Amino acid sequence: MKTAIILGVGPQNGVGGYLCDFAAKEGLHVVVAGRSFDKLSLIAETIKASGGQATPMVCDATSEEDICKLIANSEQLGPVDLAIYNAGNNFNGDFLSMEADFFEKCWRVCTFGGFLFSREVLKVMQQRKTGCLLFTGASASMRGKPRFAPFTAAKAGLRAMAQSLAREFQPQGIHVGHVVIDGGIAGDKIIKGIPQFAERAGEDGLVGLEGIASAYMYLYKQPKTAWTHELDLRTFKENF
Amino acid sequence: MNPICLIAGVGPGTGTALVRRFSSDYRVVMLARTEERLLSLERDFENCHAYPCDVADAASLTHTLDKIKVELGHPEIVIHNAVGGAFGDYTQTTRETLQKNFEVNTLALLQLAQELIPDMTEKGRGAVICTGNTSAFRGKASFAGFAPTKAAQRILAESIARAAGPNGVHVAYVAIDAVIDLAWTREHFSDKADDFFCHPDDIAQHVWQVAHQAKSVWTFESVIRPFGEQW
Repeated sequence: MKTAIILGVGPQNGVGGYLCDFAAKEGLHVVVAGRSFDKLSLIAETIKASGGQATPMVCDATSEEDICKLIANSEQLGPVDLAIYNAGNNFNGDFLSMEADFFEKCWRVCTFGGFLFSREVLKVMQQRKTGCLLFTGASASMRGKPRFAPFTAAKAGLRAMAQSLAREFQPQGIHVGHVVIDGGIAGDKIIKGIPQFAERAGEDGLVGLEGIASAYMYLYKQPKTAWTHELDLRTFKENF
Repeated sequence: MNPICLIAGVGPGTGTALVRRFSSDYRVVMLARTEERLLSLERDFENCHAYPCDVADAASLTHTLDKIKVELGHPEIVIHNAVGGAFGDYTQTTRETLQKNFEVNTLALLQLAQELIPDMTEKGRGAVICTGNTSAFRGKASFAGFAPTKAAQRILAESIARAAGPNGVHVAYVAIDAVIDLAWTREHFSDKADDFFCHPDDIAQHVWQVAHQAKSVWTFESVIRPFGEQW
């Protein structure tokens, strides 16, 4: 059985949670990776209860040691055929009073972790000349809005890296994709975390989780003569 | 009865593949200048209707669209795949060439949008997909008579997308960065392996996917290319 690693999984009702569920339905053994074991095992148990295969693995995306272990342990379960880097939180704040640590921490999660993850994943995929490596992007990947300096710098960096990897590894048979989610997401982070934002967005105002996860799976399944590197996703009423 | 998908520009490659893909679930309306090809496709596939027409001729296009609305109804999906092309750098390109390509590639899109989107808006659903290529992003020396019209087409599609999206009409641009697998490209690139080419059926499948995205996750722009393509 082939393996899918989804790194950056939080609540079940979030992008990471849905990606795990959809990857399991594709017949992959899903490695549910993130920082909080309780959340990871809940998702893994749910997948197993509906007949899929899943293993939770705790991993700090910014730790080289953790990432190396994550990829090695996943390979033990089966060849990694799909790897998704979904780690990264939205960092924003007042620029002039911003601590250097804060800026660096954002870069570590959003960009540096993506580098560590890609390096280890590509090492194993390159030997097999097949596989799919996907990254989660955001509106900030494309455009720097006020107060979002750390996040936009980090996400734009991740996007540029993904493009560089696509040009280097696609001719070797590995599909590298970047998904730009342009807008607030209809997951727990917003719906439970900042309900006033969800309310302002109104009906259908947030990007839907099911649609996001199916877009990733679509990229995964594209035939190699027609690969998409970058996909933008937004809700129909988004002002863009 | 199945909804209608209108395909403007049905050549032997992508256009025919689009007809094949969409005819499984749609009544396909085919617009192209070559009547013979359309009639043969009409015989080969069920649910296909030939409407020979030059999309660059505004009066003829309006007349044809009106006829379709009366005879079959309003399309739910419109694919603008007609393309006017030319090779040659700026010293070799005439005003007439650029103008002609602008009519086929850009003005026809405007006209299709103006005459077909209002019904979609009324129903609150519909999709307009435009196929393009690398010329929409980059002006290479020998594409002076072509690239400007594809770039204009892409920007027009983006503008229509922003206006029509909130009304429930999905407008998208699919760019194909590849050599498409056709009889003449096979001959021209006879030393290339099979997987150097982008297969028309794979392109059609991608257009199908974009045309059927859930409304909360619409893609405007996507580029497809074979894995080995230099870009």
